[in-house]
Order: sequence, then structure tokens, then C-alpha cells
Amino acid sequence: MPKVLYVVHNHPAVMPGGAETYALELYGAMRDSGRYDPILLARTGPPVSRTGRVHEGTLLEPAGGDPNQYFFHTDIADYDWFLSTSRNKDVYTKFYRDFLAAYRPEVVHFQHTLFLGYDILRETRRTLPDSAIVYTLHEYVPICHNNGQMFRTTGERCLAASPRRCHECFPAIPPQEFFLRERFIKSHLGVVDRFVSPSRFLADRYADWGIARDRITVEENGRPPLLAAPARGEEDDAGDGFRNRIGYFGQFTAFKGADVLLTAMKLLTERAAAHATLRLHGANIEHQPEDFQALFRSLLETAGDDVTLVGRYRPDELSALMRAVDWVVVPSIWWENAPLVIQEAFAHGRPVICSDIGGMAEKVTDGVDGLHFRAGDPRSLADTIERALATPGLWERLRAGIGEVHPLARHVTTLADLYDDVLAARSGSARERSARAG
Amino acid sequence: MLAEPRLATTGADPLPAGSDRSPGRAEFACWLGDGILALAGWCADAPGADPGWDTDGLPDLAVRSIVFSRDEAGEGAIGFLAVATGVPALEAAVLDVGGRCALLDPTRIEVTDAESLAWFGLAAVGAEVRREAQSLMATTMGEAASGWPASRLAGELRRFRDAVRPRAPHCQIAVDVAQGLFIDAVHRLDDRSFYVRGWMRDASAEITGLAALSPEGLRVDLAGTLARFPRPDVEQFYGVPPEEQGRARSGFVVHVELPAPSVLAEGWVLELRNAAGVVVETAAPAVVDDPSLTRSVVLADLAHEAPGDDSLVRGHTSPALRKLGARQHWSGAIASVTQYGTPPTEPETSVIVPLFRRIDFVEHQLSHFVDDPDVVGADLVYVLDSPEMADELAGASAALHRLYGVPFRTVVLNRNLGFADANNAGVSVARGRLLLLLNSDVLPDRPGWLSTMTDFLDRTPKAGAVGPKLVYEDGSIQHAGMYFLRPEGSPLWENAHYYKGLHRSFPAAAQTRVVPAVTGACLLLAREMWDKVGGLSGAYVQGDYEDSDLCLRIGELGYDCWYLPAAELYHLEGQSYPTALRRLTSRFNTWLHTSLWDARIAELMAAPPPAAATRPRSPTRPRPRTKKDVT
Repeated sequence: MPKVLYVVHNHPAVMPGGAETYALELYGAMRDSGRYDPILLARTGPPVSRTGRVHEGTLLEPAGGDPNQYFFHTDIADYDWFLSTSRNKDVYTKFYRDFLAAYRPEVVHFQHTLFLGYDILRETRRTLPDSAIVYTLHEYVPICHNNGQMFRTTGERCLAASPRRCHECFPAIPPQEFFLRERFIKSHLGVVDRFVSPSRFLADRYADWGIARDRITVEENGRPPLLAAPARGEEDDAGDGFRNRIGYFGQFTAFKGADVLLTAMKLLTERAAAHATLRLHGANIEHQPEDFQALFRSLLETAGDDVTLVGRYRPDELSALMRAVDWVVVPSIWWENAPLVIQEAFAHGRPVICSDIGGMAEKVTDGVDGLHFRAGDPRSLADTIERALATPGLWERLRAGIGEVHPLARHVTTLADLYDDVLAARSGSARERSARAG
Repeated sequence: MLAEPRLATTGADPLPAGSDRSPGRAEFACWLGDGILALAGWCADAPGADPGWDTDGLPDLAVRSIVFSRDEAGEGAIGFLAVATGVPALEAAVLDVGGRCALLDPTRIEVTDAESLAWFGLAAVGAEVRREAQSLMATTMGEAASGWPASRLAGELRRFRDAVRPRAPHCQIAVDVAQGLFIDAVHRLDDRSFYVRGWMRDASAEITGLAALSPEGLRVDLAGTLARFPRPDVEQFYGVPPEEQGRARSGFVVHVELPAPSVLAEGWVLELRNAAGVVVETAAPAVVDDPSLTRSVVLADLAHEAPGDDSLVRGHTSPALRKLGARQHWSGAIASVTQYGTPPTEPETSVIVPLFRRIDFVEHQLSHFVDDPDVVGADLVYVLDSPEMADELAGASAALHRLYGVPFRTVVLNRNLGFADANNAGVSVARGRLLLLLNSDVLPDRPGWLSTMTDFLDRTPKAGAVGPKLVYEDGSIQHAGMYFLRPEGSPLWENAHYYKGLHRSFPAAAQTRVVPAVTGACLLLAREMWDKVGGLSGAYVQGDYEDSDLCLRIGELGYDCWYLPAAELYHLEGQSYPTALRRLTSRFNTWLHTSLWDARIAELMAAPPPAAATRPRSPTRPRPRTKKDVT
């Protein structure tokens, strides 16, 4: 069976982020599919984990007792955050090369290259010249130095990066440096056979940036099957006839619009028009800039009894938490990509109220499976929540409008087909090359 | 004890009358040591001239000598200085000094001390002659027995040297003085080898000469052999701007080998000469005679080797370390051998385990060995390479033997020898036909591993060494055979481990095969083979390449090193955080290993089967994974 190597920037056993959780799910589902033999290589080490590597002469460490899952320690990397590259090239040309040479995967599918650097793509092509290299785009890190958010440091969303515009965001960094950064990253992305983008919006941003559109396949991440949480009152006596409970799932950051939501709740309380209650699930407020922390805390303090701070949760608690809410709000002020929380809300049959931009607007259809509001506008959000609660039958209609969440099994089939295609194309061109040479 | 001068009594008086007009005569004599006699005198300036008296019956006294013009003696007479060894007493004799003849007449000679000999025998001669005289005398250092006789001789020579040697002005270290010469240290390597470090500079003219003068008067020219490097601290002192401080290479180290031993700690002098003819000298501090300190200093100086160069390591570091290593042989370090329990009768295999600091590993090993009849019946030898823990080990050994009943011996060393020589010491007491070198942090995964290895060695033709699969505590591979890797742009081969870090179940690591080398952490070989290759080399510092060196010597004899995954053990090797000195040590070991084995390794790594195992090969179409894919 041909092998596929999944390279990811972190292992969910260390920190359960969305991209890494998805990568591990994909690894398991691909193994079960019998199409490709998967191997997982998850970068680890500080700052994400607390401990570094423990063995001399190797950066590898087996993960989870699985012979084909590895941690890849990059403590020797001396990582350059601007270019996203390891200054110590031994990471690539010695340790990663040895790993590739030992396994010789036919396909290498990158989920994320943060902390690994784009050079890892180059090394893959050098060591395995005929491998298929697939790269899943998770957000806008290659395009945007501002944490890949395409959100300007001056506070507006950004649709197109350029050395000049990037320099405006980071006046200390000359435009020439941004030019070099873009050229450097693009040179490495040039070895990729196929990009996978979970949303059209994301694909368009990369196409605008210069990645040929036909190199990008739009394919939403698949979700493993789950037992949907029943709606309130369906299987218990917690139903009160109202559909007025709103849930927020995500980090408490300015980009995620948690403050927009809290401000909207405050407006609703003042209006006393509809009695909405909000449950906030998430964490990491302590890692945010101090002014945002202060804003968030003061909004929370003045919010009253209608807002409950549930706090941090584990992925396996999500189903239980979903039982207590009717709606899920995604109020991000940045573009987002293909938010996992929307797939999760839909998987549990919860209509989504979201910002009318980017990946959110693409995944939620206004009036069909959820409602849009004007991104960043608390009044618009308050109006939308008021309408959602006050319109009889709307919740039921939107709930019925939720379509099938892309199943992981079908996703795996799509990806395996894609790997096959790329390999066939590569061997075709290899045949042509050798025919010409012969 | 000086011998009393006395006249020869054989036959008639052979000396003619008026012999003060004779063509040559020794005027001054000095006993430098037992049987070592120095003589000064004059003879006529006509080689082969008739001595003018009858020398029949007088014995010849063999001397080493120099001759020089001594015009004030009249009629173009020449002076001589001669030394003779093995002289029992001052007796009448004839000396051959540079083809001339001189008479030694004990009745007409002044016996004096070394200083007076220099003053009177070499009065008014030039600097060149005085240097020659100094050198002639100093080479007698090779004649005295070491210890007290050598020290006494050296003392006489030092006095002679100081009386005779031409002196240059003392070099002042000052910003406004053009010449600067400073010796940080002179390290003794052995009786005639030294390692000198210091710095020199001359702002006025090119430096054309640097010479060292031993306390006994041996002079060595160093200018051609120095290793030079920048000394920013010196440049800073002289006010050189920071950006230029790395440019001048005022620092130097040099490995000095004298033609004869030098024993005195005090009295080394170094002399600098420039193109304009200016000469200055400086006195060195007392000789450092502390092998372990010297070893650290020599290794630390490797930091000054410029990238891509190896003249420092080749010309200075390597000979210095080799000489330090040769000073003490491991065989003198065995303090005691203790048997716990009844020794096995005719054990097939000796298991040699060096212990360094972590003697608690003994308990862990015994708790597994006890369930393994192979090991219980073997000749188990623990070698304590941490002398300070001897009492602790003795206590633990008795207690652990009472608990487990596994017989073993302990070999306690009186100083730390390092991996190679600790093993060499252990093997020297081994009784088995086979030897298993085992690290203390290696623990068996399950019983039976030892006979798996010994059976394989015995039944495999041309098998020289066998190494098992070693895994880390997390189940990843630590050792599945070793190969050699030359990083791009480096002339040096490094040891590398196949499949290191991959899961122990990785298919390619399950294949029994010949590999370029196996690790010394667990290595089986026959005692006969060990003796043939001469054990582990003590030339490396602190253990890096001893195992591959051993494997290469085995390979040189036409035998193979086998990786045997059927035997599996744990190796709890941890991540090390090397100090700067340790990194330099490792650099030295790498250099030494390559300088010894470059051609052999290149040949091994060019052979496709083991070498290509972890290197990329030409790309192929995707296909099912087969054994061929990964081997």
C-alpha cells in the first residue's frame, strides 16, 4: 500500500488545536480506509509543549505508542518568525531527510508548517523527487505576517498583501523585507503539487496572492460521525418552549469578536425586548493584550445574569455543552477560514448566527441554516438576535435547513483520489521526461 | 658523590717534560653527575698534528666536543669543550676533539664547578659558540637516570647555561614598546615534550624567529611550527580598535619536542627576533605538570583552529594528547578485584560493565540478570571508573549479591580511565572465551539475549562483532547498527545510527545484516579477536569513537560487524548538553577518527548495501511497501 506522511505543526496530545485534531482524525480515517498507509509527524517542543527532546542524535520521539506516529522536536531550529524558517538547516537536511529516507512515503501531505518552516517542502522535493506534495491551507500565514489573520494592525480587515501595505502594518520592517519574505515563501510553495483549501474564500485569497487557482482544490475538512446532542426539551424536561439560549465556543480574543457579542448582549438587556441568555465557552483571555482583557472583563462584569462564563472545555465535552444552547454565535471580525465551530454547531443541529464575511458567510447561508449580521457591529448582532428570538418558527426552519456535515469518510476518499491523481500526473510527466531523455 | 681525581698508575710516566708547551691539554674539569665529566681546554690549530709526546699506553676517552678559536692562547690555538659519560674517575687519557688531540692530565687540571667551567673555559668567545656549548652540555640530559640523578644533572646544566648563555634584553610589555612576547604557560607532556601557549607581536618589523630555551640549555626553534590565532585581549591592550582585533594573529600554541629530557620547572626562556635584527627575551612561568589540567587546556585551545584548517590539531593538539595519554598505562590503575559469590566454572562469556558515577544501575541490571540463566552463568565483571565511590560500591555489591545471588566481580580503579581503558582493564581480568562489552545503562528487554548473540557469533563465518537492537525507554530505536556520515562540506566522518528515533517495530530495523560498525554500548566479540586488534584504543578522549575504531580494526582483518535485531535491550542514554570543552573534545575525536580511518571508511561507505540504507535513492513509482523498499 502506498504511504502518505502527514506533517503537522503540533500533536493534539500536547495541545488540542483545530488543525492538529483534524490531522489526527484524518490519519486514523485514512488508515481505516485502506487506501494509503498513513504516518504522522507532529512537530513539538517549546513554546507549545513544556519539555524538549530527551535523546541525543535524533529529533524523533514515538507518539501515543503508535509505531507510525512521531513527535518531531525542533528545539535546535533557531526559528525565524519572519520568514518561517529554521536557521539551523540540519532540521531539514539531516533529521527530516533521514526520516523521509527511512519511510519513503509516496505522498507527503502538510497540514501546517508553523514552527517547521517552508523549507521542509523543499527538502521533501529534494529527497523524494517523485513524491506527491499536498498542502492544506489552514489560514493566511504565508500571506500575512500579522499572525496570518489578514487583519491590519490599524484595525481593518485586509484583502490583499503587498510589500508596501505590509510595511504600513509593520513600519519597523522595510518593504524590501516583505518582498523577500513573499519571494522566499513562494519559492518553497512552488514545489507543492496541490493545495487543499477548506473554503472558496481562502482559495481566492491565495489565488489573488499568486498561487494558480488550478493548483488549489476546495475541499472542506471532513468530520467524524457523532451522536447529535438533542435539542432542549426534546429528550428531557429542560425545555421551556423558548429558543433563546445562545452559545459561544472559541478563544476569547479580539479577532474572534467576543467583545462584539458581549456588547450586543448589553444592548439587548437595555432594550428588554427579547430575553436572550448567553453561555461563553472558551479560555485564554489571560494571553490577550491588556486593553482587550480590561474591555472583556468590564463587559463581563456589567453583563448581569444573562451571561454565564462556562470557561475552558475539552473537545469531548462539546456534545454535553451543546445540549444547553439553541443557537451558536460566531462573531469573528477577521475573515476566518472554515471554522470548525460552524461544522460542530451544524453537526448538533444548531443554527448559526455569524458575521457576514469570509469563511463564515460562505459556510452559513443567511436565512437557510443561520443568520448573518454585519461583522464587528454589536447593534446589528443585537438586532439579529432579537429577530431570531422574536420570529416564531424561525429556529425550527433554520434547523431544518442545515445540510449534511461533510463526513470524514467521504473526505478521505476525496483526498485519496486526489493523491492518486497527483501521483499519476507526476509519473506521467516523469515518463515523458525519461522518454525525451531516451 | 664526586670521584677523587687521581693519576693513572700504569707504566712509566708517559708525559714528556715541558708539557705545558704540548699541542693540547684539558685545563678544567667538572663532574656534572655520576660518571658525567665536562672538560675545557685548548689544542693547536692543526688537525692531525703530531701531539709532540708519546701517548702510547694512554687510554682514549670518548667525548662529544665542540672546538672554537681561542686566539689569546697564542699561535692560533683553539679551545674545546667536551663531555664524556660513563667515566668512573679522573684518569690520564687522550681526548679526540674534532680531529685534534688533547691530553687529560689529572695532575695538571683544575676540578671546578659548572659555573667556573663556563667562565674560564669559554672566556671571551662569541654568542654562537656559547650557544653551541650550551647545547652540547644540555644533551647529556639523556644520559642520566630519571629521578634524582637527572635533577642533579639538570641543576648543574642550569648553572652552566646561566653562566654561558647570551642574553637578549628582557621584553617589556607596554603599549609604547613595539615588541611584545608573553608566555601564558608551559605544560609538561612527558620528559621531553611540552605544550607552550602565549602571544607575541611586533609593531616595528616582521617577526622572523621564535626560540625556546629549556632550563638545561636545549634550544628549539619554534617559528616554523607555531599555530597562530587572534588574541583580541592582546590587541585590546595595545589599543587596536575592536573591529581590527581579530585580524592580527598574535596568539600561539606550540607542541615542543626537545632532543633530550628537561626536568626543571623553572628557567624556560623564550626569545623573539625580528627582521630588523632586534632580539628580546622573556622568562616563562614555572612548568605546569598536571596531566588532566593540561588535557583541558590543550582541548580548549582547539577553539582557535580556523574552520577548514587542521594544522593546529594535527601539529599540536594530537601529539600533545597522545603523549599525555602515554604517560600512564591503565594496567597500573587496577586497585583491587573482588569476587562476590562462587565464580562460574569455565564461563563461556565475560560481561564487562564499566561503572561511572551511576552505580545504582548495578541493582537494576542484577534485578533482570537474575532471571536470565545466560547471564547468571557468565563471568560478570563490573569495573568502577569512579574511584571515589569504591566504598559505596563495596557495600552495595555485598548487599545485592545477598539478595540476588548472581555471582560477579568488581574491579576498582584508582583513577578515572574513561570508557576505553576501563573496558581494557576489565577485559584484562576476564575469563571467558567471548567478551560482551556492556554499558551500565543497558537493560535487557527479556532473557535469552546473551545466548542469542553468542550463538550467532559462533555459527556465523567471519563474524567479528555482534551488536543487538537497542531501544530507548519510549520504544524508539537507539541502535540498529552504525554507519559513517560526512556532512556536506566537511572533511570529517561522523558516526551515525541507522533508523535512530524510529519506532522499534520499523521493518527495516528488523533485518539481520552486516553493518559498518556496531555500538560499544553492547558489543560481543571473541577474546581472541580482542587480543588481535589490541582492545579499545585509548587515543580518543572521553569516549566517542572507540567502538567504531574497534569495529574498523576488526573489519581491517577481514571480519564483519553484524547487527542482530533478534537480541533487544533498552539503552537509557539521555540527551546530553555538552559543555564548550566537551564539544571541542568531540571535535578532536572526530578528527582523530577520520585521520586514522578516512580511506577505510570511504571504501566501506561506497559499498552499496549498508551504506545506502538510509540515504535517498533514485525515485520510483509508488508501490506496495516491501522489504526492499526500506533496506
